[in-house]
Amino acid sequence: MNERRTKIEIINDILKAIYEKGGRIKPTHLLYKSNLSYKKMLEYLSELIQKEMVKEDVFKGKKGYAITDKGIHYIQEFKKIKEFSDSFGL
Amino acid sequence: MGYIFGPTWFYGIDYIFDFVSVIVGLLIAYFSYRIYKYTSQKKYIYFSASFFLVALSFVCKILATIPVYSKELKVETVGLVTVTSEIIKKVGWVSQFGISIARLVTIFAFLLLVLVALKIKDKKIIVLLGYLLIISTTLVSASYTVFHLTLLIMMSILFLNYRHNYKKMKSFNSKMVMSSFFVLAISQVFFIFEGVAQQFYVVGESIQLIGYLVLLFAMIKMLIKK
Repeated sequence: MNERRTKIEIINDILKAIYEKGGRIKPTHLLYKSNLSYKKMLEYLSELIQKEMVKEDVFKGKKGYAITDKGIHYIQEFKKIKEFSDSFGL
Repeated sequence: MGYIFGPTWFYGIDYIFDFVSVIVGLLIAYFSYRIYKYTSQKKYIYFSASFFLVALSFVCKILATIPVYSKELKVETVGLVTVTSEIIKKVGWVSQFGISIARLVTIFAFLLLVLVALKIKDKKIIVLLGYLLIISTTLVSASYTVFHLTLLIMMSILFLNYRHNYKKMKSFNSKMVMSSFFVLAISQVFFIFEGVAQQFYVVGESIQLIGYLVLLFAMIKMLIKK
């Protein structure tokens, strides 16, 4: 059985899903990739937009989400953040 | 009040040791604060605050002991007995106050760290611990033994917590964190006995330095992780 993901892991999964899709993603695809409920996904996206790691985007005439430079930086920093959290048991 | 600073030959050397602890404290505080900015999880800001306070306590200690150390020099070089004794009296009061502040900050820093590490969120327990903190700090200001005994207990709790975390994680860095708190706890044992012989202060400071260096090594390993 998989362990519950921590918040930093969920954020990383969302950002990575967008990044691996070329930096932009449709909400339905993100819902599938992030493995979250629709409500939870919107909560996380709202927080990530507020933190300027993700921005709302329109492509091919449909609403979607795009990763920002700050979001890409988080993915790069994630390993360090995870290592820090795990080492101190946070 | 009991204040022991070790043998005179060690005056100033302990500044360098304590300065290393300041750097380690600030490094951990800064990195934890950065994680807080990303995640908005309160535990990171509390963790950051606890290590910032650890760094601050060492700065307080350094600043408070400067007059004590310079007082020692004045006694040796100035020949005016009356004037010299007045200076000592003044400086003594400033140092005592400064060291008491440093001790309060240290106790508060490690209490905060224990609360975060043990994930204590129950406000009733926090209030109780806060109350016990006020009681113990009253005693702490009167005795360096009680101060170091309190730290020994808190660091032992942190060591046991990080040992549990290491058993779960099995990573090199979690082992380093566990080891550092073990070493820091050991250093407190020597500080407790510094009243018996001044050399215990030197040994305690040296072991404490090793503890913070282990923590620094772990932090460097975490930060250079690709």
